[in-house]
Amino acid sequence: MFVKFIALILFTVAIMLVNLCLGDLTVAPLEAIQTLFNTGGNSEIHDVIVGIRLPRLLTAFVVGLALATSGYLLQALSRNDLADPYLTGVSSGAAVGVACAMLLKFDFQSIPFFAFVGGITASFFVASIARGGGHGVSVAKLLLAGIALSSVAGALITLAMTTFGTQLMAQGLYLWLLGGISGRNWQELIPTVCYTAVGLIVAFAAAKQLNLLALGEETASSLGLNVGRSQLIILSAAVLLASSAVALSGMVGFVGLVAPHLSRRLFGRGVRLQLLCSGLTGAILVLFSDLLARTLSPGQELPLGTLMALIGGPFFIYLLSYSLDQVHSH
Amino acid sequence: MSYATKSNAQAVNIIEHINISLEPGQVLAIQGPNGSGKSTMMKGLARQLKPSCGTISIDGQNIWNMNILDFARQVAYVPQSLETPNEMTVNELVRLGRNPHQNWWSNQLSKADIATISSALDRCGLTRLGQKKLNELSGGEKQRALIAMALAQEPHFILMDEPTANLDFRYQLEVIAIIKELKEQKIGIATILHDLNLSARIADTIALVAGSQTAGQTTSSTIVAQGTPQEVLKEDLLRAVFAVELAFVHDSKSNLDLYVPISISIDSENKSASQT
Repeated sequence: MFVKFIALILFTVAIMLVNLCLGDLTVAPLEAIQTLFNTGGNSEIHDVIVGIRLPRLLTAFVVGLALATSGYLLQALSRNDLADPYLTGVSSGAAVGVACAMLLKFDFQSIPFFAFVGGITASFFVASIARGGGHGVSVAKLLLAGIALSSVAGALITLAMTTFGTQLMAQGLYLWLLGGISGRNWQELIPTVCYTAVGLIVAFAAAKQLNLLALGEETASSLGLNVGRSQLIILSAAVLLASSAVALSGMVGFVGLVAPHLSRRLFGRGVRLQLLCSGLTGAILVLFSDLLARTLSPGQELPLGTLMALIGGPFFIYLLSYSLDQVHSH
Repeated sequence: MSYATKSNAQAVNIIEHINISLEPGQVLAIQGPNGSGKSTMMKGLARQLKPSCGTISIDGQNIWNMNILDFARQVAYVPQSLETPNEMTVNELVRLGRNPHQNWWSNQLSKADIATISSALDRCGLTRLGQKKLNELSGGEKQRALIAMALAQEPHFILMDEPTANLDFRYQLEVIAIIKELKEQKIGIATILHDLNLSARIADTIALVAGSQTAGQTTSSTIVAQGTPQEVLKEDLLRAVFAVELAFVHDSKSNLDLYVPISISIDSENKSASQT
């Protein structure tokens, strides 16, 4: 298992390096690394590597890490493998928050905060519907409430865009919604990384609580866990992670679904191990998708969200048919 | 634990006017027909449901005023079944029983923790199954794993919701043997049981829970009889509560009084016929 974990880290570093080297301007790995540490040298290469590719690469890394960890937390909370910030509508809520912040012309440092407010509102709404009526969380209600919320959120954003926004603003917002991470600069990246870090720290600190919640609310509480408070804290961390990803890259779906599944298959169990491995798997997934998005059709760029949907959508359908069988056999 | 009256959100109390107590080293068996509110009562005792009025207390302290960790160090609850995370092993499950004795952030086990866990596994006969995953266990083994988790809490009281449900004879007797052993270690046990014979063997007190006679309407349940097995397990009372004819047999070989349900009682058949 230790070997697997080291391999995962090495693979993450390797794909980061590939992302750094490949693109319209191909740079040799050694030269790319040298450029990172030297300020001198060929200034065109320096501009591309340090000015464009490095922030973009780190953005992809953070987005993948945040979405996958958020997905893992939501799956643990709902005790349901199909939960994911995108499918449960949390991302849509966060997107409404970001759209409001953009249209009201707040400065970009406050955008993750608006995303969080939107996301947490959406999560309360979806959670109250999914829990309503019975014990625990209903899979069907969770996903249906997520779909409903996403369509309302999409409509709200379009409405706000057409009513208040200028043409230029609408175009920018639209491109951002599709999930793009091009042109992110350091000033946008750093505040969001802080939000993500807080979410990750809370998630790791709550490992034990996650373990207890896996037994169900009743048993967890009889083992002395304050169930409501733990759920609220973990949910807040999950929403914080998802909304910081949304603030950076718009609506990128399915990372939070696919990454924890792959990681469970590959790296075994244990909450802290899974948090780490899910996060890194998500980062690899987004780095890889971004590489494809930049290189598939030269000179032109596919939106990251579209590419992730192409990969993640079929996977979701596969999981859905598989887990509905399980639901019925219960 | 004493006096509790509970209700659901609606106007009708599910179960009301209860006054029961449990001493260390005593076994209280809760019996009654399906839907009579036994589980509601059990969840009340386990601090899962808050009574709408009345109090439940340990050593004079209301359980709802206690810190949840303090309560978990006093009282363990064994659910009827656990929606188990299938991948979890027996060891991992039983380890979680140490939670009330640990810091909130750490799941490091001290030497004392490890000793408690291995003795809990040993008492439930699970030492050799520690590495097995929960979904690979038989029903009886799973039930014992849940009891072992409760034991790892080192509680003074253990509440069990139908520990023998879905178990075959042999496993039922195993659970009964564990309960007897716990009783000797001065742990107070309250358990829901359906089998009158098992209750008669292990209970110091039986509480018979039943709704009132007007069937078909939502009425509140209460404890209709409470006392030693000899006092409660009487023919007329059981016939009235369960609406069945019973045969009472004394087995001289084992020196046990046995209760055998024979048929649905004629009175109740007439009753349900007249209602339809």
